[in-house]
Amino acid sequence: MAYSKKVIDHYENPRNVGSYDKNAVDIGTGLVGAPACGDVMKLQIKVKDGIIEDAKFKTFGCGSAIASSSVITEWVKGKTIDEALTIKNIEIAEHLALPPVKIHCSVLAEDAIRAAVNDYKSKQTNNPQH
Amino acid sequence: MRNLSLQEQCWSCKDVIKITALLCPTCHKIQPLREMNEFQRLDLETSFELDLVHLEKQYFQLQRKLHPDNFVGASALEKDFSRLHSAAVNHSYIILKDPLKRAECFLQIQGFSLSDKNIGLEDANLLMEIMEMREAIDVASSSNALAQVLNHARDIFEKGLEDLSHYFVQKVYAHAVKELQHLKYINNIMQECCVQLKKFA
Repeated sequence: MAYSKKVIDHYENPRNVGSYDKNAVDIGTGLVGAPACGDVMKLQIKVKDGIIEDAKFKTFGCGSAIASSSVITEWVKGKTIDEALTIKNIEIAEHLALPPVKIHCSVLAEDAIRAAVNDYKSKQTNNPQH
Repeated sequence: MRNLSLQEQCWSCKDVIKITALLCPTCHKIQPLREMNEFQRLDLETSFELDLVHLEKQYFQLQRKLHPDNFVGASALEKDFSRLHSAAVNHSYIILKDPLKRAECFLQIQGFSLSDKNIGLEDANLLMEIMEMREAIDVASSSNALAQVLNHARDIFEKGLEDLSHYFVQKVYAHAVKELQHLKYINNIMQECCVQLKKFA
């Protein structure tokens, strides 16, 4: 199976790899896994005034999973947290020209955004002073 | 599961034979490949518990019977049948001899899917454990540090395999799916440790 140029580019030069302190109030952490293949993906968003200022990821899995998470760190930046939730896996899959057997990698990325936003939101409910 | 007590006609001599027959008992011609599960393909009981020595014996016995080398002088059709049988037996053997692949195959036959979102997928503690081990591999700066992660992963793996066997014996398949998911993550971690260890060697 041949990877598209975009997948290879993101795989070889992943954007925004790294971690934030998962306990910080302005950080939302999404940790998701694909049990069928054993891949894990962590997406963290740094939020200020409802806008995602920055995002970092760490993915341990195949090239498509790494590329999918790399792409979403670029896409969520500058968006409000609710706008970020509108990113659909099919857009990621189309952008990276993922083959059908790798669509689940883009689903994982979409799940990671939702998990990160949910984590951020629950922190705000528990820390109303912020 | 396919009913293997059914009968069919031999394509060559038209005698009525069992669908499980590989060679026709009357004319000894090789029969077409029939649909069956991996366990049936190796003529084994469909069960996770498996004697690996017996599995290997079945494998070699079947290949001795079906391998294309035995059909060098046969018709093109028989050569085709032999090739398909031989490939199917290889494929099933590879699945059955690996405990994780065998478990996944068995669970699929029971109607369970590993990607089933309703079973244990969003287990935050599990994912945290996996991510921490992955990060430990990432920052490991010596073969010692890697070996430590590998040993830890192996312990978890062996314990998990035991649990998995219990779940199969007790027929609690939802638990088995969850444990198998866990083991797949751990298996990937062990593989990654080995890849990284080679870089230090």
